[in-house]
Amino acid sequence: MRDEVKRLDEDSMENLSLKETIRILTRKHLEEHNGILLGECVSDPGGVAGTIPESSNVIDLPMTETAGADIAVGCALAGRRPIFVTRFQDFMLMNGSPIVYFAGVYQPLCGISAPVFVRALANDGFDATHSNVLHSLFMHFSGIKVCAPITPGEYKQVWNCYLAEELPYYVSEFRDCYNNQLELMDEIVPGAQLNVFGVSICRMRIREAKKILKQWGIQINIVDIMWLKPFDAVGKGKVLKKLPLGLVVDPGRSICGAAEHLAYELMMQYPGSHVEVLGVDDRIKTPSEVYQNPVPTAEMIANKVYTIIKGRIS
Amino acid sequence: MANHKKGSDSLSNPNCRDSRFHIIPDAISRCSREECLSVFRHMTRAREFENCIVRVDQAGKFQIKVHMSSGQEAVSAALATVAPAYQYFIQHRSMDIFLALGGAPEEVRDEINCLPGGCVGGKLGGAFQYHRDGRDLYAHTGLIGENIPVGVGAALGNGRRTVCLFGDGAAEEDYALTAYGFAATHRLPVLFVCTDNRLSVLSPLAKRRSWDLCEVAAGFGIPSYDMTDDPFTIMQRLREVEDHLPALFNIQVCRDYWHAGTGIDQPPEWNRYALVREQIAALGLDSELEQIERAARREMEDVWKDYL
Repeated sequence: MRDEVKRLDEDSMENLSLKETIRILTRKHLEEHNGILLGECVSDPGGVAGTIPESSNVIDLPMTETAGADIAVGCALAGRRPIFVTRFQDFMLMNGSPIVYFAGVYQPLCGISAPVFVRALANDGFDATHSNVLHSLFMHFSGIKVCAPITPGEYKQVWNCYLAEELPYYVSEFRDCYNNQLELMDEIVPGAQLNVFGVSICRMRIREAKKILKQWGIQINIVDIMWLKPFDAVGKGKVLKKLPLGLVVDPGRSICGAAEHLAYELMMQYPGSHVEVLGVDDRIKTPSEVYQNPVPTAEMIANKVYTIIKGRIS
Repeated sequence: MANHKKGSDSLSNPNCRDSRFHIIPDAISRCSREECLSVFRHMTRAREFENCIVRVDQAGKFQIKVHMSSGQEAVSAALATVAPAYQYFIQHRSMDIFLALGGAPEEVRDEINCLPGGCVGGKLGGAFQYHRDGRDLYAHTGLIGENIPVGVGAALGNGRRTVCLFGDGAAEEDYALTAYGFAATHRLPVLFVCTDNRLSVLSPLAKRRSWDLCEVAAGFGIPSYDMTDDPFTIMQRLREVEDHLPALFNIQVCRDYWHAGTGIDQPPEWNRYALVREQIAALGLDSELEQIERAARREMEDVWKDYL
């Protein structure tokens, strides 16, 4: 199936899905720019959800956490602009050290850049160690850009930024977005009662929630957040000037997480505003219905919006 | 090619802490006069530099603990003499290799004093990098042994011959073990050099592990050599493996000073500097040695004059 993909240049990348976009950008990088891609099981049939092309510059790492990221950092020092793929974002807890403590500090410390493009894949509904979104951990550290693109256009933007800069990137991906072909725009509507800021897959779920809320007679604004760090709180928060009430929805845990941080930044930039958060609860995640602790669904988002608005009215 | 033999490993062999352990007795005869003097010059400059540090430290003019190389400087002297164009990935105890590869002593002085003139702007107080005249020395950032997989990655990335230089504690890091295996799998041109003083800070090797590094390397299919720090043996072994990398050298060393700082608990088990001097002097080069010693002392005292 992978060989069916045409060799398209960026100008002809219209109407492609996110995963096709990733695959084509990757192929171009590997074959035309001597790039390199490393990860565990990256040359498996199917190419990690169809995102990885066949290429001699795709290097299967041994099953190792930490050393693999270190090897990618070494490739970055050698000028190869490596793409480092982790099939489950949870594994970045172990692989994070070289990214944080070598790639992230080498340029400010030694003046030598180590630009690694970390593709950290996430999904929901697996087990306690394969279902988490950890981008907030990497927002904590300096020297790393953190983003969560979910559209083909956003991914191209991120990739071009990465090539133009000398920094390591942590790119938080969500598998449920890979078939997406649509570009998303902020939705600002008259009579909105709440601004809902979304991150990653939650941006799609917010749009589903909007339909539910419309049936309930509630209108919301939707603001998409793709760049998590640096975060443009001033620009993204403009809607808070007119309507100083918001909700940040993120697929990670809200405790000490991206949602709480972004809400804090928004409130600091727009004094008098009130921004709440919705994310995964502070407990484990498992496939069990009892312990599932899922990424916020459309229903959960709609209920949270309703609760906030109801609370303000009463 | 691997000459490592089960039973000859340093873990089970009490003789490994002998200055003659696995050395090639006539290795010096295969070195040119220039190489012999180069080795001695590198060793002497590193030692004189650190002698000045001791004087400054004992005068109470240091605020930080320096990781001294004296006692094991023969390793870097040998590497810099025969493999100066390799790319080096080092860690904290690396003033000697920085100087041997051509780094300015003033930059080390300023680095360990956290001054802007340091080789990384005095930002870490102990990171040494040098990229000039075809020499590439990559500083460490603080995590012990991380230079091993990063160096392996660089070798994968650019195909250059690479030295990863580390101690016997760093050799045990989980990511280091994976790196040996990855280098073996991809036949990367990496020379792993472990300076083994049997201590990780103060924790003895025998309490930390039951396995031998050379046997682990051999298990990965990597030629490995256990030896003491005779520079001429190191040079000979390097010449033997340079076209057959990866390889691993586990080199028995005895440092003069504490893990950090200039304190001394007991005299070193052997004095490699004196042994090397004796070997080269036997070649009739005594006056050249004296000249090198005088020049190095003058150079380093001049570098440190504002502190002494």
